Amino acid sequence: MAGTSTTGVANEPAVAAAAAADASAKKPPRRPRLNKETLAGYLFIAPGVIHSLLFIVFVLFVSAFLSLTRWDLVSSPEFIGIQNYVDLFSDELFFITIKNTVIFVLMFIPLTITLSLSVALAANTKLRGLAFFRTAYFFPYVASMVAVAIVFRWLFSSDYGLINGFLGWFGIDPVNWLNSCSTALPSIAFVSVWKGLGWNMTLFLAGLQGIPSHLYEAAALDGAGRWRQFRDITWPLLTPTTFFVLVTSVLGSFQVFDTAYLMTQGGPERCTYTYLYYLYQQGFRFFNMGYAAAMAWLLFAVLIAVTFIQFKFLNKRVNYELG
Amino acid sequence: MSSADVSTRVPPAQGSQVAKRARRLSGYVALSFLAAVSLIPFAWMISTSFKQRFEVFIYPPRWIPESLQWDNYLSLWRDFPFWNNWIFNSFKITIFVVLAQLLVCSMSAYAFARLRFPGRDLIFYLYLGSMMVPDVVNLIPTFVLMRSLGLLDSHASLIIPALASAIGIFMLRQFFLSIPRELEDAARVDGAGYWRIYWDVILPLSKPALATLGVFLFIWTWTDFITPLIFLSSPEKYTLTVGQAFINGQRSSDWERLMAANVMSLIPLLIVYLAAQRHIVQGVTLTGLKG
Repeated sequence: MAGTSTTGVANEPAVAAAAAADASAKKPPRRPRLNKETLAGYLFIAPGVIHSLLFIVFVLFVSAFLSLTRWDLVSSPEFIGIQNYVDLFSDELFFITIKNTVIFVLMFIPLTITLSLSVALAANTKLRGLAFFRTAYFFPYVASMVAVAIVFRWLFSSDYGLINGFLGWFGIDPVNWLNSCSTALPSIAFVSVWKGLGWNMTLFLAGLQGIPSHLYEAAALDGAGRWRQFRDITWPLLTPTTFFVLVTSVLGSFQVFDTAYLMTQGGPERCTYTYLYYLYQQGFRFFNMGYAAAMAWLLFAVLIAVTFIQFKFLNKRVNYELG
Repeated sequence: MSSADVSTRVPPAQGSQVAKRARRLSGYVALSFLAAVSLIPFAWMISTSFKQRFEVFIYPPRWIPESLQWDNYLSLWRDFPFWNNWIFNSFKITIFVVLAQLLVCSMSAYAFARLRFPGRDLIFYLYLGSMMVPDVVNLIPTFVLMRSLGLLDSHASLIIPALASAIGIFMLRQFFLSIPRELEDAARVDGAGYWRIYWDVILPLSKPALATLGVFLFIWTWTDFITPLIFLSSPEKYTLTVGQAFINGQRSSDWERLMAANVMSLIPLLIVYLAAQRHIVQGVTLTGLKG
């Protein structure tokens, strides 16, 4: 690895190859094919690197630049500095969509974690037919959100929907699920929870089955009840899984779009107008490309911050509880 | 907790038997409940897709249609470019993306896992870091880029940006690292070059990993909605998801046909998933892929 440290900055194949040859000249000639290997390395990664230079690196710069311009796709972009970001903070809709998205996340995350963990706990015995169940649970995860959203628009339909039909058995009046402000956003959150449930439950189950059973046996000998066992063994040892489920769920839930687009179009009265839906509207309905790019960067910043906080907070917990 | 109560009241040996049985029963109840919750919406979707119009709005709901209305499926073809365009387009784009990405990602992954060259680790970490960037940040500039290349409203605008991905490179690299090096040494002694080793040794040994990545790419590409929604504008170029959204907007209470379109869009996913489900569960738990 001596070659790597001296030429860490060299990305040009020619420069790097020369430097690598240099390094090998100083060492005993144990790897006479270093040149060839370096060249092969660059050739192998070339298609991927060229692609990502264009569609990751270049595009990120374009996006950052666009967020500093006013551009409607017709005239040429006009540089306005941080004006888009300033405007966002006096945009009433921007705050409405943030509020809706945060409420969505706050409904989605606890429900997802508790439901998928409870089912995983219930399923974590040696049961026959687990494979069948897992196939069933995975299906919502594999299905497209578009199909799922349309099916649930039908299930939630106020007059003929299956859910109101089911509630009718118990004498409950039909609920106008998607057309009333108090139920529309929870309904959408429910769809997301439903779609991810089997998936997250499987992750928890894998985590549970990785906990050595002798710990429970020892705890039972010491007279620890089920709750004590859960609190002192299961929960702390499951932290890496919980952490993974939490982080990925948070990242995904901030970007809720398909259900809002297909089930409610942001309505009623903007109650399901989510952040990404607003970004889509700004960028591709009103063609405020700069404004939409600024929104994307703000979302990016928030997601990094939220993930960072989770890393800091939860990593401490693992150490404390395992120590 | 109830099982713990039981065990205090009866002799230990018998008590643990009862507790075990109670746990098993509660396990099955929970599993069956979740299975029902997971599958009922799909059952209702299939049921609705075969109903006649009047049957759709019958109350109380009827599960088994009077007769199977295959015409709900056929009329999708009469009224929309459903079969010949949308389904075909989705297949075309998905297959292109899957094959191209398997090739490009496995080439990069091989180099990152096996070859030594300056800057290797730096570039790899940059890839890892790039996975933090949410897709939506790249959506707008990619749209702009495709527009300036004159590729908007073409399938190339969906295929080209998806020819490689950091997650694919990462996943395959992890797998390649687990392949014993001795297997390559034999080939090297025989004078095989890097390409031969990659193509004739590494790739054949990596079929499970390639299958897992392929299935995930298929699912992600097939179900992608926001990108084709933004990049495509002529209805005959739509992918299936955008086509479904189109019907959803145009005929928002044609439930039997909306459900027929849903069923059609899910069949390929179901086939791919069932064919590779063992790989999916394994691959997911091993690589920590997110979806």
